[in-house]
Amino acid sequence: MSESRCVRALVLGDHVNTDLLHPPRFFGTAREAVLPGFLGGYPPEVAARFRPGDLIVGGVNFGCGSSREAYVRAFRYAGVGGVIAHSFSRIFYRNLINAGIPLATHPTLYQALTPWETVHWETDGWTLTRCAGGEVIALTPPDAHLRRILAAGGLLRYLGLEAEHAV
Amino acid sequence: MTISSPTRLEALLAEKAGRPVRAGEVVTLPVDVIMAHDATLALLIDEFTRLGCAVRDPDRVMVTCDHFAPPARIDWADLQRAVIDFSQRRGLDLRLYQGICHQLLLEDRRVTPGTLLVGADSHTTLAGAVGAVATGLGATDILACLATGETWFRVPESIGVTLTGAPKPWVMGRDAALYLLGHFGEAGAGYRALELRDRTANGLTMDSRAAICCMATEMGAKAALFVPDAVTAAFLRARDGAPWTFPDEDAAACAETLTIALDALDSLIACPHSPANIAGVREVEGTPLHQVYIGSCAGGRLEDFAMAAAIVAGRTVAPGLKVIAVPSSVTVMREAMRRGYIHTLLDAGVCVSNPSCGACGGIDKGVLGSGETALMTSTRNFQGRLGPRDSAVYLASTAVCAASALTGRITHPADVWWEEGR
Repeated sequence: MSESRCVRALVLGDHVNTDLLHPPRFFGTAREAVLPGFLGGYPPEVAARFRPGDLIVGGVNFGCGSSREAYVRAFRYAGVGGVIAHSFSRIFYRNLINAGIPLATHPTLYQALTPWETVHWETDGWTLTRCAGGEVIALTPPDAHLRRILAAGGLLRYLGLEAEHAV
Repeated sequence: MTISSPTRLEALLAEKAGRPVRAGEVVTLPVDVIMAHDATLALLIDEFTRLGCAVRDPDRVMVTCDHFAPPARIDWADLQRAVIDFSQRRGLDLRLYQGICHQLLLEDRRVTPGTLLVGADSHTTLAGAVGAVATGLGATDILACLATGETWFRVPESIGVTLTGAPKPWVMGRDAALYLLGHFGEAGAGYRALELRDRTANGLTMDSRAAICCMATEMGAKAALFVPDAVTAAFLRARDGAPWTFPDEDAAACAETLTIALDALDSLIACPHSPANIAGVREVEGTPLHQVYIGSCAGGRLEDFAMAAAIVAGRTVAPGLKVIAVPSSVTVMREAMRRGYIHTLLDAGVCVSNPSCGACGGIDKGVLGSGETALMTSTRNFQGRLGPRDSAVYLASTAVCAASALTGRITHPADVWWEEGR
């Protein structure tokens, strides 16, 4: 595993809610308003350590809470490479897929990884490789309908509301 | 292999699909009503305009300005301006500062039993109080709904919930919701629907039903609906003047069922920092408070104002305690004024504000400062939602909130009201 392909995994727990991921007071549309709220419910060193491309790995019911997609913008602006959780809250799940942000499920990954462990996720495949040791972990992809939306690059492209080249 | 009869959700969605559907399958269905509010529509206006989309059926849409009502920040005033202009330009039903989106849907004639309703807000489940199939979606899904008139659903499995008995006078629908949260936790009803049947002695009010359906989303539920009955029929007759009647149906065959005996239920409370972190009020009574909030789609309706007024009548709230009450709609506020509840609250020292989401969302009046603790009727108490990480929120019924408003500490409602035999 070449080091350059590795990113780090921010490992979080169960029931990570949208107010922790992006507190309401950072609601907005502009990058400068939204990005400072990324992971704003956690101590500031968490967001400071996150680098574009890094993954977020969580537990049960990840993303529970609000429907407001300001957190999706925050994820995009922060360059979240993908999210792998035990399970997702349903609105959050749709929102991430609609935005074309890769996601997958795995029942115990959040317990197996060490904090900020380096991993590699080839997001068009459904395996994760631990960079130290090279262990390959099989992930569960979203079901077929959702994979089609994800593969199209998000809902608007999938529905033909947006051309492939538009963004 | 036996083929079980469809659940109510399966039957309602089959009607929309024009063919039988079963839990687990993905169906694309036309939606009857689409709701978006100032804090979600704002996110999709630029996209919608850039893509040259048109609203397929403006008559099916409701837009509310309730989260920033009115805005206290310039950037949010800018976002709301865009929402107002967009709605007016496209001929949408704009409700500017008329109340909380979910309460306005409950009051709207377009929302009836079986209506398929999607809203750009997680608490859209509330409309299940009248028997609608109602669920929350994000802004992008709503954008697509506005443009195409339809969206996809995974048909949910159903959980049958039966409510029985006669509640104590201070036990409200919110306590049943807190009981369910204790039972299911934050994810236990995930991706499923609650089908609620009211077998209580006197029938739960529509206000209590709304509080329960609203909070179902905090259990992960996709939808929650009360099987329409005499209470539903009376509500719809009063609202629409239409002669609704409903047969007394047997419960649909749900894979999982649950009965809540309201006789045995006492006031419950959700402790920091999860709406499912449930305790009895007695377990945390005496906890000092800095703020009490009565409002939100989970607790700002007429029966909440009636309860609050009954408890604080002739007394004053604890010195130094911030007590805020916000009606969930103009209709609620007008009736609460007519019945004298607002006067009673003002006389007791309660700050009564205009119909809106108020302090629930952490983006309007009523946020917390460092180290502050609040008791609220609102929907969520996630860490950092209302204030800094070291602030804390408890969630309970209006009876518990009003009782605690008098003492400045978490207080069981029986201690301030019923002991005097009121």
